[in-house]
Amino acid sequence: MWWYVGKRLLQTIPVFLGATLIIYALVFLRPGDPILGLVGDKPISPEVRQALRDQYHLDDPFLLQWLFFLKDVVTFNPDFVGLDGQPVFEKIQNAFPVTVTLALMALALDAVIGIVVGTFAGLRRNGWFDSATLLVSLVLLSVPIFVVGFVLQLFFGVKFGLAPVTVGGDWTIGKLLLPAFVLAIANIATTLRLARTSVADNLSADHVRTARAKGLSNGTVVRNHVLRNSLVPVVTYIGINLGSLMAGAVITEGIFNIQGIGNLAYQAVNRGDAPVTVTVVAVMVMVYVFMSLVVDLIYAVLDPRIRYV
Amino acid sequence: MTETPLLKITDLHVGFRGEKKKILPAVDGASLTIYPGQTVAIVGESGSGKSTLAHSVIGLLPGAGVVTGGTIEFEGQDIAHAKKDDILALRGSSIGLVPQDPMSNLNPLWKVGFQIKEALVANGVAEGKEADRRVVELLEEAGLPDAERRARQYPHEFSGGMRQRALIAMGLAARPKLLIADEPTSALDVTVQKQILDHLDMLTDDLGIAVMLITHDLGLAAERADHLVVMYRGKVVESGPALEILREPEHPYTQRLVSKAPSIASQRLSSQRARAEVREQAVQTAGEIAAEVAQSNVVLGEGADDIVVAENLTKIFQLRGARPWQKVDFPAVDDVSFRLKRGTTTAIVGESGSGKSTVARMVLGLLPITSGRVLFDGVDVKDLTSKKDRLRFRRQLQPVFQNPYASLDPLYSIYQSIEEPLRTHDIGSKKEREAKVRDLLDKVALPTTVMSRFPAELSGGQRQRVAIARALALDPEVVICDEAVSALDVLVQAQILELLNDLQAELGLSYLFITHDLAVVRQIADDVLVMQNGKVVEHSSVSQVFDEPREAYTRRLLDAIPGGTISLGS
Repeated sequence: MWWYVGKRLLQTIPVFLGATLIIYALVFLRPGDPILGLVGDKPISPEVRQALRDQYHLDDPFLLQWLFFLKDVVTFNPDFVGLDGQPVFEKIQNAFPVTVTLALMALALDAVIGIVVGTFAGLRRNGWFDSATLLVSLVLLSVPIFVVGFVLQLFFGVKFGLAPVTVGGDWTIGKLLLPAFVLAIANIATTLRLARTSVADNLSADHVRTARAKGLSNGTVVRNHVLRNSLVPVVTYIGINLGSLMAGAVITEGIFNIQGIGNLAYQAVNRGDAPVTVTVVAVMVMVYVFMSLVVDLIYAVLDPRIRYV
Repeated sequence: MTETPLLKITDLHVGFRGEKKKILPAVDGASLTIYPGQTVAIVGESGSGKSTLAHSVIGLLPGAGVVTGGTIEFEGQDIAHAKKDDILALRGSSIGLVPQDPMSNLNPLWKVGFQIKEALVANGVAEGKEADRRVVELLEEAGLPDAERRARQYPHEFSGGMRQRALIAMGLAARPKLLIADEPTSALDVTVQKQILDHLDMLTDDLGIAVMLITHDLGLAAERADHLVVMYRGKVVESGPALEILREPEHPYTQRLVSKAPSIASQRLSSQRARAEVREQAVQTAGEIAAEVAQSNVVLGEGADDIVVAENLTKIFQLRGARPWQKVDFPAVDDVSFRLKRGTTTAIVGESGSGKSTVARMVLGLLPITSGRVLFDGVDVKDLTSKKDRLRFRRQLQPVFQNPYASLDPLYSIYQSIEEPLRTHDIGSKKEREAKVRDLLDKVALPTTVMSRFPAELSGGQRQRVAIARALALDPEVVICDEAVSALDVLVQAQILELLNDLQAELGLSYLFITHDLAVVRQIADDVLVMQNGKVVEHSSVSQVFDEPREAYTRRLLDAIPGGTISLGS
């Protein structure tokens, strides 16, 4: 297995290089002069402007710029700064914990609600509970996340005062509960449907009938032979979700004013701030790659037929 | 008999709820009785309701199934109308089940030992350490060597035969009084089938357990059971002592079973005489075709007598070794040579893993050859590099595969499936192609109305006929049948074999017939190659293989034919 993990970790190197190159190119192709965007309406002397351009290597060829960037990132250069003059790594360090907490909370909500509700729906397929669940999940799937976000913010935050309207700089787990739920909502609907189908399919599997024929009670059959088998595809899906949760964080963090990675990325893109944008996206890519490795390893734990070499 | 019956089924009706609450009957007034310690076989084709009957006895009908009438009395207690808890109490401890398909009936995520232990714990036989010890004993009893280590393994580390032994251990774990064996060996090789059934016989005899054996093979049933129950379309059409039914079948369906089932028919000399006639005609037709081929420039080949020649075929697969960077060579096929004469059939017989299908795939050019060569009508297949030559080669050599459920595209109508090779090879106009498809369906005895239907709407036998029609669409000279009848019921097997024989006589086809079942070989083959572990162990004519087998391995294959010990005269 370690051989496999090593191979997978080595694979992250080309993924990292490719991802940063592509994003760098996209930022590079963005129209407008980032220096002018930075200073805004204030007049700027040509000398200062040229000095800033030199500092950020803006006059060098594209590939050379990318290599300068790589050097700063790989050596964790503490003087590596964004266009606003603040160190990039420090910014990410400050923004990372809240986003990770948010994403993990969303993931937990996704797993618990999705699997529990999905299982009950699957056990009584075509019953009233199943039909109601399917209908609700369909609605949740079809409404965009920012609509759900604003509506829940309006009701729970403004009207009922059950949750803080915005989170702001000093976040707590309690404050993040509503945003995490908003973030998870679309995923819950999908997880739930997946769990439901998986459970319902497994109920009619041959080995489940054999288990019943052994004289096992219904509860034991469901616990040992239906649930565990159904979880394999569901867990895979949930794990991969973390990536999409990081992406969804851009919107949710915007709605609830959370100073996380999503917000950071959004602002950096607006500024045309190549160092920050590319670093943040690279971090997200790495998290995604790492998560899919973890998922593959969990998969092997759940299903003994999978063996990695 | 004064003894009280263990199981008494009286006028049982079972149906499946279909659309609009309509009930489709599956078992239609079946009655049977099993006494303690007795083995009763229920024989019937797929769809005859035999499995549904078995499942209703243990209260495990699938969701839509309902008992609509009649009674099932087990030791005087009516199961058909019992409460759920009462049936649960019977399962495992009083009625055991050995299911049909060993591949899908073990939970892949749990160790085999755990799954047997569950049965012990659930029925209050043993718990904890004691149960673990008992699991090993049960596995040993079921004939699994090295049981202690095996109990700690997962199902995917077991072969099919080993899994079936584990399932037998599971079914017998709580020492039930009745064991339902639902086609326990249909998915296994004949030799493994014999071992498993022998062992099951011995165990149930020793323990005094009554067995309800469900099978589609009359020969097998007659050999294993004292009492036969023949089911046809949900009804019990005949029941009585096994030999009596075999000697004097009364119902037309039983008569057909007795006369056609390959396991029994292979004993008869008449099938051999019929085969000789087929061959004579086929060789003559094939000779005419060969003469044409020799003249023609369009068709590939020289019109040689040996249409397919395999010389020293070897296939080595590279497997993963003990360390990730190591590779181990595994010779799947080792130095196999044979000659297939025009208009004749060469059968390759062997168990799973003997390399017989690998040979077929190499001859078909679907798998690169490690060493050796295949000559098709005097031309080395390896030299056919141009696309035109490859296409011509494909036209003359067509396959029919084992599983008619998997080898037809479910989204293609039957017409599209059969027409596709014609379109690929750009043959004829649309009208001509349609005429050809009609002609082909006629040849394989299917009505032209199936053209617009889809594979899911056809039975297994009908699908295999479609697969044969598709193989014949390009007028090939050679057809390679890879286990072409293995997945079918005995009667359907007999029909398909007959069809293949007729087509051979009419079209002068040459067959390479791959099978694990020697029973079907006598009705279709002229030469036989017996393969074991990638090597040819015996190569001779059919009569020699059947009458004077040289190798011990061949004798074992012959002994494994079910019903082989029953003498029926000619």
